[in-house]
Amino acid sequence: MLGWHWILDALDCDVAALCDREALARALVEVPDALGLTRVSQPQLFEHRDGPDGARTLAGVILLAESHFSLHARPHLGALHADLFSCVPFPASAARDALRRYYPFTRATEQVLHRGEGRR
Amino acid sequence: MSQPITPLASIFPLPLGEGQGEGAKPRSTTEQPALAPAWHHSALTLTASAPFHGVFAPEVLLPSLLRLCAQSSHVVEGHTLHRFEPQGASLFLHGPRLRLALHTWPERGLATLDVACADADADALVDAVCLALALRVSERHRVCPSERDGGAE
Repeated sequence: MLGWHWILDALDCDVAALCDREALARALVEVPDALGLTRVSQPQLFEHRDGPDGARTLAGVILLAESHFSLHARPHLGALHADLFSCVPFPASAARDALRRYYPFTRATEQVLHRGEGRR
Repeated sequence: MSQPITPLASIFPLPLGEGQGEGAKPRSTTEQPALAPAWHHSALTLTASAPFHGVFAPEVLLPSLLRLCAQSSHVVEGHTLHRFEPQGASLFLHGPRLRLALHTWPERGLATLDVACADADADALVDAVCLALALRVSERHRVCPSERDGGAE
């Protein structure tokens, strides 16, 4: 077993929050902090215009001693994609709650993959 | 070898709901149907042939991945890399339609690779990476939120 991979797609997010670079950077730092994970890089942010009619999307990643945490905000859809991979277990509910402080979504799908469990 | 995505409630003390249990689909926090994101994500565990340290050296991995992305017509706008002591590395490449994360455990001859593409062709890049770095896929999860489906092979 190499790690736990939490993947969340949040919907109905506040569009202003999804457009906020500072909120993205703070979430990349503070969500891992809230889970007791160890940051080994600064948050790296990216801005693209890849939506319909050149809609702006924001994304970012931070590397952790335990693996990584990334976010991808798509304001034109009101959607946020989060992906947290850690070689130590963490409570998904705490990750979700920490993320909601920055993106108060009302709908989401989420899953946790066990990475490396089925390797031959 | 086929293996379902592990249901969330079997790992964490969340209340069981409809759709939880063996082979469960991604868990939704409400009863409403999810919007369909266009991104398709392959999450793999890779096994290296010896010598592990050469294949997993960051000075080999980073240029190799950048070249493979370019050859696959994936635009990479930024990357971040961390080297662990005494060994191992984490790499993340990002582009408008690509996210790639690689974590290595040279001492175990293992790596995890995540490739998410907006145009559903993650497998082509995965195959190119495995071929170029002589890595073998030992586990593959497909994460397709748009279909609320997924699984491991």
